[in-house]
Amino acid sequence: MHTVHTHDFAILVKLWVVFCTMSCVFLAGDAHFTWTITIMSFFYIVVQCKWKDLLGFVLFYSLTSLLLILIRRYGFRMLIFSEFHVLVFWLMTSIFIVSWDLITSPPGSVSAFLSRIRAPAGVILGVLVIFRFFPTMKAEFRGLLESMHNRGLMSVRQILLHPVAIIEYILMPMLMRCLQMADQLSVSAISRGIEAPGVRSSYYATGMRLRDYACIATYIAFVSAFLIIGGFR
Amino acid sequence: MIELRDVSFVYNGGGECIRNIDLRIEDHECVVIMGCSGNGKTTLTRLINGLAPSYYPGKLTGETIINGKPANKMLQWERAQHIGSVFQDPKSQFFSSELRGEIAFACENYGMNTGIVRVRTDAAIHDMKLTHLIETPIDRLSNGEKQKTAIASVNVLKPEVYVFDEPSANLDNEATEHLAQIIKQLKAQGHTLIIAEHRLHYLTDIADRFLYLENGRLTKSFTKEDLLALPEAIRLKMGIRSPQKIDWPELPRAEVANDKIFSLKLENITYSLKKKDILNSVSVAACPGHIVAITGKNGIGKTTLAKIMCGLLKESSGKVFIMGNQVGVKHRWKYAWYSANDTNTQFFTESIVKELLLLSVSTGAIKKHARNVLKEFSLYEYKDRHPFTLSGGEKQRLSIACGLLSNRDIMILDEPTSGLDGRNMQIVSNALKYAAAQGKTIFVITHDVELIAKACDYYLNL
Amino acid sequence: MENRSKWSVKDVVTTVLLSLMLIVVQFVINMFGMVNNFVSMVLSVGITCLICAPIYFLLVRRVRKRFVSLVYMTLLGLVFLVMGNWYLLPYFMVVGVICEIILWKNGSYDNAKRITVAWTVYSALYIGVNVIPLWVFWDTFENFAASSGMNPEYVQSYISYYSNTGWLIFIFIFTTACGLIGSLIASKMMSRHFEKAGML
Repeated sequence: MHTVHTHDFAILVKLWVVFCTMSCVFLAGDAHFTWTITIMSFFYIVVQCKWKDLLGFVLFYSLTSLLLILIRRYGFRMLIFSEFHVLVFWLMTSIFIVSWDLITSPPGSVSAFLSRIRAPAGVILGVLVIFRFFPTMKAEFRGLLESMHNRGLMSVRQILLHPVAIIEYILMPMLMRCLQMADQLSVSAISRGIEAPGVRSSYYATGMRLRDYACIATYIAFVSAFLIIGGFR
Repeated sequence: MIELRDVSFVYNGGGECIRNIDLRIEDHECVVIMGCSGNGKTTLTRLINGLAPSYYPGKLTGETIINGKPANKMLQWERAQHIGSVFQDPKSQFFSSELRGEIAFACENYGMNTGIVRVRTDAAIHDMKLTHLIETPIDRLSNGEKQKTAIASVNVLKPEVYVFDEPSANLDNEATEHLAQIIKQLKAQGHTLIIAEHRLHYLTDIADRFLYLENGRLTKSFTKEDLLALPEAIRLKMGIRSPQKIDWPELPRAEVANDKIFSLKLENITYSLKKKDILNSVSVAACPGHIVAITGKNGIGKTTLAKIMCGLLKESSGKVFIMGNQVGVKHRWKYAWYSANDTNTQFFTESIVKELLLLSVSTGAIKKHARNVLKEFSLYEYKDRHPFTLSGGEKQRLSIACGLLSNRDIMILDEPTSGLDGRNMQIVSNALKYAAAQGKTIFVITHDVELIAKACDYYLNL
Repeated sequence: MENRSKWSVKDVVTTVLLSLMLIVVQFVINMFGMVNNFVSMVLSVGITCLICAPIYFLLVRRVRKRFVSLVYMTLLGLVFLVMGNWYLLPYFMVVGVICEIILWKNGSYDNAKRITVAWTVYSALYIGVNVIPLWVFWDTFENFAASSGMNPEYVQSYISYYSNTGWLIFIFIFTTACGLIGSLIASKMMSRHFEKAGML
């Protein structure tokens, strides 16, 4: 079931929130206070009603928090990964949350925003291609793995004896498909007028709602409070 | 009105070309361009919609006139407003993950006002009867729905002319019928239609003229009556598919009496995904030398069944027997060769010979076997070429050839003839019969009635 | 081939697709590498540069325009930015400019040697991916480690790969060598596959 985006904030707001969050994390006097901005990010997701994402982030943060407590109070030491990674992930969770929210925005709103700020058609095209890359490449990669399975290239023996060849067998067809895809996408865009001069428009409107302004104001207040109370680095 | 006066075109890198074409297409006409692969059908469509030479560089001579204006004075984006193009494989052309974004793409490119974009997009969605699919992610649409989306996304610009390049290539029979309806609708609305196609039967009642391209020249022109009256022998020589809808041949069901030796037997296979039953108690069996056609509506589970047979998917319940022994999922790949619908990610090496001999020990006997197979499949002269440079039909043949050299007794092919012309379809059919004569058991997932009539002796309908 | 021409639609799409391939492959390798400290600190940057070389070669040789490398590295930097490592954006943009300078001359895009130099320099500088975050977060980590009662030697061993000159030199040489070897392999693959198939 894919996420519903009706309660999303405008792209401009999301960009602002990412900027604010990063400022807090990197300018914070005492890094441990970043838990406040992480909780703030949770609220940010709740207001947009993205329950599945929220669940994932809460689990992630709980896990890293738990690990940190174990490391600090009970002398737990990591066998895989490292304590450094756990700390960095804990500190940066808020950034992961708001960034994830930004990059999983519907491509329609992103291209609407870009056309509103009069970005060149080439940039908008590039951004649309980025959005299409993952679903398309995932399907192609799965097809490739099935072909490799069919050929017997996926057996453990094969992988252990010829690791370099396996990399070639994966990389070359994928790259050729990339080139083919680039061709097909370009033809599709050109035959639908991507080269037309002027500013590109959008099906979706980019209007700011009351909640968008409220979010911006909230974050301004939060960042100010955070840096004033918590102090700068 | 589109006019080509003594137009010739050669791509910069060589390959197929167009020679001295004189063609005049009147407004509201529906013209079908036929011909074997490699003879210039696609190039001719590119000359009309302007992609050659603007995107596909090459040497162009002669004059192209569109609505009275010389085409070389038009920029590509200007031309796109009058001539819309619908390509073969819709899924590789999408820029959005959802319907409205995709269909609105063209209007957005021209910077139309948001209000107009919305009006046109919603009208096109309504026209193509896609309203119920607005909330569905574009990757989950069926091939037929994707093709409709592609047509709608051209429709929004309201071009006078539509150019189609093999629009039914990936569609099953039902979706092809729907496509025929849409094309009829477009014709009734007064558009000029130019369709490059192999499958002719769905167009015989719609097209005004059928043009035949041979080696880049327009050698023949037919009306519907001429085409239907064409003797079979000449039609086969021309390499074109049947203009009439062929009846499904009467074939026995693929099951085996208990006392006979079978190579593959499926017993009550069920497959469920997320509480939905995709396959329900399917049973089939076949002996060496049999060619079984697996047919059924789109989405009914044919590919799923094929993947279970070769071990790519695990069945939810049921048993799979190969040569009398039950074989678990992990080991089936050693006995069954699976050739997917999409040939793009099937090949790994840089030459056909290497592809055939991949993972084989290169003894003299195996090399001889490879040579014979290549000759049988008319691929011997391409033996050092890179598999990626082969045409669709050649790739299918290479896939079957690799299957033969893999020494597996069962071969499963998924839509080997979709998008192939009559000549190539015949070659694939011969290839299948050759493989069956070598003792292989072959399952072919197909909706191609001509192939079933020519090659298959049993069927399984899901 | 004219280097100064405007970017066509095909150039934009190809650059974006291949840049994303580069980025995805890097991240997958680095993710697997994180499991073990030695691998992630010492080996994974090298392995990344080795495996990504063919993709870079294809990108440069196919698009044949100036600023392609800069676009790729800016995109890479942007990905690091949204993951929080904002300082890697300016870092990689500088690396991108250096690669552009190496490939500036006309005809560079067919010159395997020049592309090899560009990729090798990139590989040499790629270790910034590990080093810079370490610098940025080290104080915080040291404080945390101290209050967790971690043995100072234990903490030091973590960055020993980067504080010990011997190791540092080894990593530097290893990564650069991987880049160089990767380039040689990439060159061969270009001719075996892409030139043969007429795509270059």
